[in-house]
Amino acid sequence: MLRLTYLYRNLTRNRLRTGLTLAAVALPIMIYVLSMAVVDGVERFLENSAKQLRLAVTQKASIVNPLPAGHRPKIEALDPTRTRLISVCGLRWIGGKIERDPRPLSTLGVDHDTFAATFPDYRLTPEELDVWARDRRALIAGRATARQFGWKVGDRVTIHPSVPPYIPMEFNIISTAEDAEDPITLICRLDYIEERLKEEGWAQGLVNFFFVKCATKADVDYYTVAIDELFAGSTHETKTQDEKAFMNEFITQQFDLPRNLTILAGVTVFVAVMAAANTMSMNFRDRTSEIATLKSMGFSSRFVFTQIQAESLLLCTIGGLIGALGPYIAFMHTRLGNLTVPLIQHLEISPTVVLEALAISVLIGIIAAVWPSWLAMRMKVVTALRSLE
Amino acid sequence: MALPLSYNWRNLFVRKLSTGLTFLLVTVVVFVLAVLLSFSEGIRASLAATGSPRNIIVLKPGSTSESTSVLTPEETNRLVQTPGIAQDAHGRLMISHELCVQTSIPRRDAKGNLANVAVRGVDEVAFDLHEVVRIVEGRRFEPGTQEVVVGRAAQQRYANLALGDEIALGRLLNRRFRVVGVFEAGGSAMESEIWAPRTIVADAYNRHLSSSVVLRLEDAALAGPAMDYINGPAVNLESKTEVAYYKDLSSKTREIVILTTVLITIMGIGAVFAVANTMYAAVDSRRREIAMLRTIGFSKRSIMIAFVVESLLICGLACVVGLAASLSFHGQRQDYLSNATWTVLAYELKVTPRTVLTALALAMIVGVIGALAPALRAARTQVIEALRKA
Amino acid sequence: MNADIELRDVYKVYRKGRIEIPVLEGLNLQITEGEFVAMMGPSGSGKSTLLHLMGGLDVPTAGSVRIGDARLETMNEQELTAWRSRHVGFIFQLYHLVPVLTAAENVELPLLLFHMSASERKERVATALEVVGLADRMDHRPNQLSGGQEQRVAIARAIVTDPDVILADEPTGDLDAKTSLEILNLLNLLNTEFGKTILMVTHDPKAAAHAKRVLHLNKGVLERDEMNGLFEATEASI
Ligand SMILES: Nc1ncnc2c1ncn2[C@@H]1O[C@H](COP(=O)(O)OP(=O)(O)OP(=O)(O)O)[C@@H](O)[C@H]1O
Ligand SMILES: [Mg+2]
Repeated sequence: MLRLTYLYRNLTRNRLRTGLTLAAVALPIMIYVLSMAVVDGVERFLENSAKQLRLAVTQKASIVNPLPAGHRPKIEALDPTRTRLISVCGLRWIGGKIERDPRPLSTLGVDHDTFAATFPDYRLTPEELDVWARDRRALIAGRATARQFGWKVGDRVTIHPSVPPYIPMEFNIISTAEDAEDPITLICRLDYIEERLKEEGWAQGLVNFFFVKCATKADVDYYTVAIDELFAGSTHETKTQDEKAFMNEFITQQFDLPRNLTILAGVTVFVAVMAAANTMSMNFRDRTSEIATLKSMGFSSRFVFTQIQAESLLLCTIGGLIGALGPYIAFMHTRLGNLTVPLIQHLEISPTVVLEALAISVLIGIIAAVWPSWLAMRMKVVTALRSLE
Repeated sequence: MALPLSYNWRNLFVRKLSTGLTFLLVTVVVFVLAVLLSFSEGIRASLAATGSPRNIIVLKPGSTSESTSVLTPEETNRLVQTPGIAQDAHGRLMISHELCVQTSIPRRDAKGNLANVAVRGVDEVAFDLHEVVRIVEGRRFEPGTQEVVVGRAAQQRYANLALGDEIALGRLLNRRFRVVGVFEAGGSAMESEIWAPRTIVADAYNRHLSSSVVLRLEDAALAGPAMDYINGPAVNLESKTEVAYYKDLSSKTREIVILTTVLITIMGIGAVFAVANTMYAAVDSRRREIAMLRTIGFSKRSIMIAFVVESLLICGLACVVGLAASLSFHGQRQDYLSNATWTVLAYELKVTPRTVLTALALAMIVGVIGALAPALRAARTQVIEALRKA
Repeated sequence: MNADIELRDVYKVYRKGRIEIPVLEGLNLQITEGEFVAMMGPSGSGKSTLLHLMGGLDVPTAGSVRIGDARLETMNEQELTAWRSRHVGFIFQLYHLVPVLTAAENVELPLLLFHMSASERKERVATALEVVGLADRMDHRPNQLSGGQEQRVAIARAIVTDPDVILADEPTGDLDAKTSLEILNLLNLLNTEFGKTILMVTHDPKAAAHAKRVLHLNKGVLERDEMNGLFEATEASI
């Protein structure tokens, strides 16, 4: 009990110093949490991609070049039984904006018949799928986007596509995909787009990519090669990758954000270490005589070592708690959560990141106390007492 | 009466560890600030450098960029009537039909990661029209041949784009093009592109419609009427000055700038607390010394100034070292894949005078704010009490 | 258990780079259990050094230091630490109380090194504070106490573990005459009533007069070792 009292009183001995240190540790931890939440979001996204056993088939030279929709039956023919190759879905990028709003949308037109089978991770309810099948103008709006624009199920929205047919198109929001992994993208039916292209006299029957759902990992590997072989030498050669590789290509081209944010997070942890180490060494300086006295009374080196370590740990953990829970509460339980964040748009701070940050705070505590606690351990009582006289 | 600078300087070394840690901390913060700023400075610089106020870019209404725009010949033909178009030496109207396509090229650094590089099909007129474009190595491509010129940034960032190299382009990547020239464009976005003869690109990509048309005006002042004409019923296309077009593209990077600002502000505040902590400790451990100084006649103000100066010494030095370290990033290239154009901008990290000034300002602000409260406490030291206390 | 102190041919040499600074040179000394010994000598003569050796804070360069059954020169750092907690109590000139703990908590501190129930600790602390006459100041922090009171708390802290030997390094060095006298009387009490062996370093002859025996240290050797007459002692206390 007295030990704890001592620990507590040591922390409150110089309240100002403790307060300043808490802030100086909490703020870097906050940056750590925010950065890692972004990285985490990307990773979760990629992890899901990997889990989905999906292939992305694009035009060989560039993802922007379209492929003929006629590739789909040819790919499907690779496995007529549908046991290894479960479904093929063609997608076309529409982009788009709404009237008088500069915010760009990320809209995709998809083959409506195979969408649900290819993208079960959208987790649409049977009722939603029912409407999807019936309503040509159906639009599945990512929940983050829906929230940003204030849309809800049943709303009618007009989107101006960034690509042909370039004319405003009306959609009915049938779902906000609450359980989807991707909270941003808007999904609409390709046949609706095609219909408009035809009316406006644009080329039809083109898609940007196909997504192919496979049954097992082995099938993923197999079809990665098989599909490209199928079209080799044709006028529409393909490049097939698993979905994770495909997505990763996009992400590394956006400032390499995950990598750079991870570096940033590391650097800020370093800043926190220095702030905490500074305080611990100042504390040690101020308490040299006290530590010497403790040792003269027969307290072991280990005792003073653990006492200083414990103080540092407590200090940094509290700092970490503030730094981690602050953004957690702000982003998960207030309106700040609607903020757009680069790359992942919508920031979700998972408890894992918070725990990680706490673990790192503990580590910071240990590192910050290494030097002073080592000095305290090695301190010769006689020398310390002498220097005070 | 101010205390001599040597007094401050020596005091820094009395508490070596504390001073050192604080110095290091501020150094890292300045360093991060400088590097983050050099990101946004780099993008801003390359997008801001692109475009001339005399050039007007015409796109399909609704499309967000050249990559998603498609113009039919009927549409482009209507543009000839636009008022104010400049003529070249031979009396031809300076109208450049441009075709924007892409190709995947491995990056030089990372494990062959592919980047989506813009390929611009242009006619000879484009070189006159885009005044910033200058061939710095080799020559222009011959019209109608499978030759390309590559931007300086693209050449530095992506593989196999040296003079004399061959690259595969086209829908099927089956056309070999020879690199015959390298161009610079004042650090602008175009430096991340590959330029090739338009008819050949159209053939290779089986895309015969232009993406955009760029018009050169006789004078920048004519841009208004020209755009009114194009946006009006006579042509019914979308037009912007080139400057505005690239400025809009760079607005997408605003998120990054905001993110940077938020992070740096948080870090800066953290640094203020750390510096304050150190300065408080310095004040506390020197109470008797301060009391002595006050007794022999130093004013409260000179005591305060002494502590602020001490803090500024730490932060100023840290700023210099942090900036010096950030220079090692200067000139490195990063990819930015625009979500409007779907092509990469291989921009250069830039430590500009603006970066230096911002970093200096941050360091000084941290130094002053961090020292202010402690210095006040120092100035308020009760002389008698401090002298009496052991 | 006997708590006689015996120093034999004790040498202590400090080293500063290549220079050797001999402080104690072949010192022999015997103190019987229950004695109250004062040690005087000019500054730098090695008084504190000797005290530190006897308290197991430092080890001699040569020679032996025996306290009761313990041969300090043969023990390692860890053993010395454990031994200290049971057998000696230190009193310093500058008290060295923990400023964030109350008087009672300061006194309780060394008891943490024993397996002892909280209630027993409490009892002991109360007794120790009672002995030094500060039972009513238990909950005061050091900065709420006068110098003399602080030193009493330090004494209570030194005796609370019931050590055999109390080592005091200029315990009255920082106090005025009246307060010094109180502290000295307290030490006397500990010696006579509780049978503690006490070794006290002091520069003050009046303080030394309270002890029954006075050692004079000079340049690392015992110059004089004399017994105080009972008469002088009482005279000084008047
Ligand atoms: N670590 C050390 N290194 C070198 N010399 C030391 C060291 N410790 C003590 N000394 C020297 O040993 C000598 C004796 O010191 P000590 O503290 O025992 O003297 P003292 O008799 O207690 O003096 P005072 O009355 O001033 O307290 C001094 O000359 C001192 O300089
Ligand atoms: Mg001494």
